[in-house]
Amino acid sequence: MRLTVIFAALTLFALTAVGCTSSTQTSSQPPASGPNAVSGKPTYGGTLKIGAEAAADTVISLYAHSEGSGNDLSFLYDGLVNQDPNFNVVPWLAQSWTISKDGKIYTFHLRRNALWSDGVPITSADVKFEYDLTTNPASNAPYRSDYDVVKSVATPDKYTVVYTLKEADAPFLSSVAASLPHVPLPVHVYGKVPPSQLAHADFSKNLVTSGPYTLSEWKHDDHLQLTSNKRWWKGRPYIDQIYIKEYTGNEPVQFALQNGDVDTAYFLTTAMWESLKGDSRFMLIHNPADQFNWWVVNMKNPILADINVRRAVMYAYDRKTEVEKLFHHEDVATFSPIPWAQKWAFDPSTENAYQYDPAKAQKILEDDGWKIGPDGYRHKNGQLLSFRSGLIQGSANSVKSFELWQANLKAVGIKTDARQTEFNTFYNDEQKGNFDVDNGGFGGGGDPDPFIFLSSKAWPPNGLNYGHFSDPKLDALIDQARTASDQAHRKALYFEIQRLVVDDVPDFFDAAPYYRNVMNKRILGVNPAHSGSQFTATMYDEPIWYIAQ
Amino acid sequence: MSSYISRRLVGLVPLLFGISIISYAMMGLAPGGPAAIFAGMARQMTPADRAVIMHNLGLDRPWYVQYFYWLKNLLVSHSLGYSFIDGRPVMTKILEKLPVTAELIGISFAVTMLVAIPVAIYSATHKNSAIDYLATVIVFVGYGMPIFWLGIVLLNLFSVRLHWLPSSGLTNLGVSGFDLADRVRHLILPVATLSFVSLAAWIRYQRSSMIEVLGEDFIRTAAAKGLGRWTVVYKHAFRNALLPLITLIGLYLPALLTGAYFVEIVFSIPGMGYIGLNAIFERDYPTIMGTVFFSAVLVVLGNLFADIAYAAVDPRIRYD
Repeated sequence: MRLTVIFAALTLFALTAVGCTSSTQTSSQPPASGPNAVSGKPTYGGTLKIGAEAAADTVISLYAHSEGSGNDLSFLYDGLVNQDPNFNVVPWLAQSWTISKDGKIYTFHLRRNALWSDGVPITSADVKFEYDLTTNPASNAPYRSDYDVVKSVATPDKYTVVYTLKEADAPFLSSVAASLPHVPLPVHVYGKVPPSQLAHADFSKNLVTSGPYTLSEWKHDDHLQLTSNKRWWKGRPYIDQIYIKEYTGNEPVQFALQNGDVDTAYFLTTAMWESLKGDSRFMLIHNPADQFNWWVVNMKNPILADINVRRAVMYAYDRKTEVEKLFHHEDVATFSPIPWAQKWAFDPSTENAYQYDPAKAQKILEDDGWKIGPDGYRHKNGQLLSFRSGLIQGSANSVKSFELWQANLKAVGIKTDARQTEFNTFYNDEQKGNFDVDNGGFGGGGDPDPFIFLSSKAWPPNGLNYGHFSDPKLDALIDQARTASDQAHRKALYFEIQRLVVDDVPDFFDAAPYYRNVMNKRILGVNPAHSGSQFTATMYDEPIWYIAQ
Repeated sequence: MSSYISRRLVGLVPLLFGISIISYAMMGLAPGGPAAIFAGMARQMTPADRAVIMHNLGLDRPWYVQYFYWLKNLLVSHSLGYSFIDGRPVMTKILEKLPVTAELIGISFAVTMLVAIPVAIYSATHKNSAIDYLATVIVFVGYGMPIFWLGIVLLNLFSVRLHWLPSSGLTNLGVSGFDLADRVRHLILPVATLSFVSLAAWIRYQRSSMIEVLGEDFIRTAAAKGLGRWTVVYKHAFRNALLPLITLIGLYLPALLTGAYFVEIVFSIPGMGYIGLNAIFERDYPTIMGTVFFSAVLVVLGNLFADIAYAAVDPRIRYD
């Protein structure tokens, strides 16, 4: 199953580590037409073993603030709606929904056969309970902002939930209703705990869940054991147990995959992918990721506020060499604020924007008054053309990118130095606006809407537009795309937004990476073509996988 | 004696207070903050909403005010607070991991003693022999080698290349309950790493202590009155040479504890060091303080215990 897990920062962190490998795989992929069934009928039983590179933090979805916990919990909790691996919103706990003409009222009709793992029916009270809990400051829930757009939630009867929004918001279904932190919660269990104490409550022995699996054992910092939920509304999953083994870091996960201790992983680094992709015991999963790589630009820096400088930087930056030589085709150079996994909204022509052209970069800078000085760098009115490039410490890939970036920029007379900080400091500085350009990645939201980092309404403290970029025309287009209910209309608007972004260069968009994973061929019924753009998308089909007995 | 102990216990209070305030200040003044939890992790989390959470957790106050509340919480409700990351009580987390670290330290210490003492006695009684020189070389190598590096080298050799031993954790995947053979296999590399580094110090101290005692008059007397060599060395010399080592146990505890933390990280063993380091990366202040403070208490009590034991076994020493 796939529930959108929204973790921008971790995605950022992961992304700098993602990035690169050669794409010579193909041989072990089964026909795209059907699942990887070898022979025989699916049977019940067996254990799927997953290697996690970090320990779970919580089993309460409200507080799932690391990507690992989000992955664990996607087996345990069901949302009102879900997204299939192609980002289509599909009925889930809600069997149908209607959206009012003005796009402000969402009415969900819950299915009648869905039960909590303790046998109590899942009702509208559980849906509203999650909303009340998240919006209650005492609960300290980290995802409260998701509900900023909601005016009220009503439950006219046991199986109907009505969300009234302050304004039309097209991403509401995919970004909120389908997202993990906002799954219904059992009011008959959590309702007995004061909201301020919920984060400290221990449910590891008697967790009540709604998803295809239930929690049977949780040994902190070691493993989680899940057991198939025989009451699940979609029917009992074939695989009886899921054993999630928690390691410290990526190397142990790689050893475990190679030793056959685990069947698949939550996350593969480039190094892991490189050493595992030739191993014939694995089926390879390789799809466009719901992410993009970029250098965030701080418009408060007067040099970077100059659009000519920004355009020159993009022409000077040889992204083609970066993705082909440094990262072995493991990403594709694009210039789009929309992850390429969002296929309906992603404009493929952004792959041609800002082709490497150092002569053009030189000319733009020359015309803009930046003249080459005796030091080999450009100056204007006594000012050196220079800015700092922020990198997250410990990411080999961002260092690799930086070396090329620095050399490319130097070739046209722009000076840049690296400033490496450990990731906590990195984000703190970014939030405070203490940066020039920052290397990273973004995505995972399940919807193409770039409001939160491009709109001037999303300047801190109201959003994540830490670079303080502003273009009223872009703001208006983003707002229109958010309120348009028809997907064809939204698509046209997002194409226009992407064209405008190419013009504006609000940030240095760099490349679109792949999501990669391996699956031991012991697990049958897996269709890599249907595995989607991130781990939770891969798991969408998990209930129909099986193990030959 | 009892007045000495109570005096020492009273002295611990300002000591631990000092340790805790310095630790808290270092943590509070370090760059960054619990950004991983509260930053852009939730894509839509606005800085305004983050401020609410920071306020709820008391993080909008200066570090010394936070420290005051931490101390108050410890003294009044005997609680080390709740982890920012998983919301669990820090005390529970530590008590859950303490046995793991204690097991690692205990076994390593036993192994160290079992190897160091015979080697040291042999070296002392056979000064400048081949084995004595070999022991000296081991001492120098052991002193010079960073423990995390040795751990990685052993892991790479015996686990990754030779596949003889498991690379991480304390139990094999899917092993439920306690399986002694499995546990021993998992402990060989971590214990070897931790013991080898401590071995250096112990061989050196024990050897010089033995040499010193062997040169004493009473040893010559014992030999002169016709006692066998075995009796002289073990009954007279060794017993006396052990005394200074009791102090060394107390002094060595911090090194052993730090060494164990490194070993836990290298071999993915979920002990105190493991949660402590993760807490530092995630700026989980209550857990950082909990592990640091708990370690400090252990070290301080270890020292006290060594001093008391010293007096108990050596009648010449009195604390009055």
